[in-house]
Parts: sequence; C-alpha cells; structure tokens
Amino acid sequence: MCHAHHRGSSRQGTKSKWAIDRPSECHTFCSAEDLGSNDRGGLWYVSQGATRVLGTANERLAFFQGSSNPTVPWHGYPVGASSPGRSTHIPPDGVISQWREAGRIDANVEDKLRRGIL
Amino acid sequence: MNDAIRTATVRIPGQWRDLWLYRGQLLLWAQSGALFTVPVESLQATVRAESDKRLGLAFDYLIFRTDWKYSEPFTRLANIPAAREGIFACLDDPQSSTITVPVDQILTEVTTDQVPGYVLDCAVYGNRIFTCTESGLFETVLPSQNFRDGYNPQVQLLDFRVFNIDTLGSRLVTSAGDRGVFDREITFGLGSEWTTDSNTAPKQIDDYSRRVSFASYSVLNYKGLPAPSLIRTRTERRRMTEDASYEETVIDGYEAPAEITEQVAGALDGDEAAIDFRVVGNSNNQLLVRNSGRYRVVSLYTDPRTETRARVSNRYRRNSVSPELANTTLLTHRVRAGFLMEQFDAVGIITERGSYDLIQGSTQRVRTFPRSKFYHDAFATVSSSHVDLVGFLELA
Repeated sequence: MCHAHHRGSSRQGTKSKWAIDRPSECHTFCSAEDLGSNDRGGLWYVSQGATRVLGTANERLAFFQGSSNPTVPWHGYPVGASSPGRSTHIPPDGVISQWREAGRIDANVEDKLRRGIL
Repeated sequence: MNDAIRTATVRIPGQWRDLWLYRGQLLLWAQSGALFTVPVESLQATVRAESDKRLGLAFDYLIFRTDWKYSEPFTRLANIPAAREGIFACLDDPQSSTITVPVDQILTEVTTDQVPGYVLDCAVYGNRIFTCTESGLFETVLPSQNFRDGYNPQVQLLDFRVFNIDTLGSRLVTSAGDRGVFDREITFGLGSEWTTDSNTAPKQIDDYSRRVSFASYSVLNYKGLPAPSLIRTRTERRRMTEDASYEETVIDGYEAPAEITEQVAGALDGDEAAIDFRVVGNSNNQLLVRNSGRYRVVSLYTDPRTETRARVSNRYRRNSVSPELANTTLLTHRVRAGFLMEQFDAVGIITERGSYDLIQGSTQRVRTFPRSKFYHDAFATVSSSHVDLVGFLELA
C-alpha cells in the first residue's frame, strides 16, 4: 500500500523524509483517503489543526501519489516549505478551502498554507 | 515573562488581512480586500491618553520611534540599570504592556479598486502599494500625501500567483514559484507619466523561486537548495526627480543568478564540517545557517567590485542562536535588532545577545518594516480578531 521511499538515507538532501514511524505513515494514508482531498490523482493530508509534524524538516502536510497501475503502491511523502528539493507542490486553493470549511484548519493555518510557508 | 526582554503591544481590533506602516500612516487591508488608513499620530495620542507618562514614553521608544532606541543618548541612559528600571519596569506587567486602540472612528477608506484574490503579501514603496495575490501582482499609486484624497489608480503587473515581494533601490522583485523571479523598476512619476511607466511588464530574472529577499543591494532567491541563489545587482547614485535635493542608490541591472553554496560552506570551515547545512533565512545580508543541528550567523559580502565572500559573523555570539527557536521557524524577517522568527504558533527573535520568545500562540502572519525610518525595530502580527503592533527591548 505505502511505498518505502522517503525513509532511507539515499539521495540525502534532495527528498523529504518522514518523521513518523511506518505504521503512523500508513494511518496517515488512511486518514487522507477519509479526507478525500484529491489533487491530480493524489491525496493530501493534514492533521487536525496541522498540529502534527510529519517530516524531518518540520513538514505538516503529506501527499500520496496514486498510480494508474493498481499493482503499484501509493507513493507518499511529507511536504512543506522547508522540504529539500525543487518543488512548490502546495495544496490547491480548493483543497485549502475544503479543509477550512470542514474545520480541519483555522484561519491562521489557512493563511500560512496559501502563502506557501507551511 | 522572559527576564531579559520586554514587549509593548498596541492592539487594534478588527478582521484584517494585512497591514503596513508608511510615512506616518497605518495601512490596513480588510479581509474583504478593502484598504483603510489610520494616522499613526492618532494611535500614539490614544496610547498616551490611556497610559501614564512612563508607559507612554516606553511605547514611543519601542513602537512609534524605534530609531530612538539606537541613539547615543538612549543607549547611554539604558546602560544605567536604575534609569532603565525606572522607565521600563512599567512593562513588567503583561496586562499594562498591551493597550487596545479601537480605530472605527479614525479609519478612512482609501479610494481605489480592490485587488482580486487572497492577499498573500504586500509592500509599500515610493508612494505605491504592491499587492501579491493568488491572481497576480498589482500596483496602486497614492498621489496624495495622506492617501485619502481622490482616486488612487491601480494596474495589474502580473496575472499569475505571486507569493512574496521585496523592494529596494527603485526596484521590486517577486517570487512566483514555478514561474520564477520577476523584477521591475519602480518609477516615481505620477499622472500620465505613471500610466506610461506602468505599462512596463516585470521581467523574469530567475526561473524558479520559493521566496526572494534583498540582501544589501543583491537578491537572495530561495529554491529549496542548501543555499539560496545570489543575484547581484549593478547600482548607481542618482537623483530620483529633477528637484530632489539628494542622490539615492538605485539598481539599474542584474547579473545572472549564482550559487553561493561554496562560499557559505567555506565560511563554516573550522567550525564543523559543512556537510548537511542549510540557509534557513536572512536578515539583510546576515544569513541564518543550520549546520549539523547547530546554528550560526554568516555575513554575506556582495560588493560588485570584488568576489562574493561569506564569513561567520563576529557580532552574533556562538551561543546566541537557540536551536529550539531556529528549528521550528517557518520564516525569518528582518528587524534592526536581528532575525524575527515566525513560527507555527509563536514569534521569537534572535539578536546579537541572545534568542527570546516574544509571543506565544498562533498568528496568521508577521510583518516587519526594515526600511522604515521610525519603525524598523517594531513588528506586527495579524490574527483573526485583531492586529498587534509590537515593540521590544532587551534589558541585558
């Protein structure tokens, strides 16, 4: 179900890394499915109030990329403004609005997400 | 309460999105996008009316005239413990160090078009307001001294999401994510002259960006790499208008982006092996660098006549940067005293003397005014029910 990338020490400095253990990562994926925050074939996750740190660079978001091939596991990784590598992969405005309307995040977290600093 | 630092806060109730202090005016963006202005002297008068003489003086030094904190008479006075205690003991009580100022009666709406989209960042420079939103970059010109008279025209400079902006030397630079860094000259013309100038579109000077910031007269472009790219500028001295009485330094061109990873790593040599370091932010040309879990401040020298150099700052003590504070920081902001640290649910500061927690609790955003004459050591926070203007004083 969940790919083992973003855990080892290979390609250090170019990939974000999970700060949570593997079972928690899989629970996070299940929660992302429940949230239903879809984006281009993937799923976004944020904890209630974004209080939970998920990555070693203080990332509080996660993205799980699906595959058109059902035998290929989902590829999940923590995402944040401090993640290494060249990426501005932030949740789309619709996902942020959905989280805000559902009470998943408050106005302070919404602002930080839209500004791309979280 | 931290024994080594005191704060003073002016709280302005209301649902605001952002704010700026400029030429004696507090500019406030409502969450609707409408723009309002409040004279700072009205805030100051209310604070004085609501407090005794000592507290009023403390608020002047810490918020309304932060330049006074760096004057020789003040620093000499503040070095006498009894004098310092006599003036600033009034800030020991957190209750009395926060003064609420309702602005409903002293607020004026600025007549201009509302910018579309969520306001992500703004800057006020050269009688212009630059607003970054999800829909683009907008320039509003403010022809009158008090921003209230007549209509203030607005143009759209970019039509895609712009994350942040910085201004200096008659230029603006913006960070637009995958679309890169954009630059444009800021002219000082008004009327038809401005209309002509405003047709000049910003030009791309780098192809990718998470955030940009001026460091002296160069641009740092943060890209998710260990060190930001450095875009050095060409500058000259000139009078901005025909009747100007003095010359200013203006940027008249950019060099190609260059990597400074080697220079920063070299600066850390002899400290600890620089294997896994990262520049987490800057305050002007001071870089805050994480290296193997420890933090150092590195000074960056970008004089166009010499090679770019970096070396560990002598002004920041080895133990002045708290790893706990730096590790959890989302964004650094420049203030005169050092690095203001915007965290997930707190605001802290790193100065040459030490690291301090200033505010506990979540805020929407933090704003500083580093190029302001009066407010360069104050900052503001925006929350869902109010904005705070905050000043601070180290007692040690």
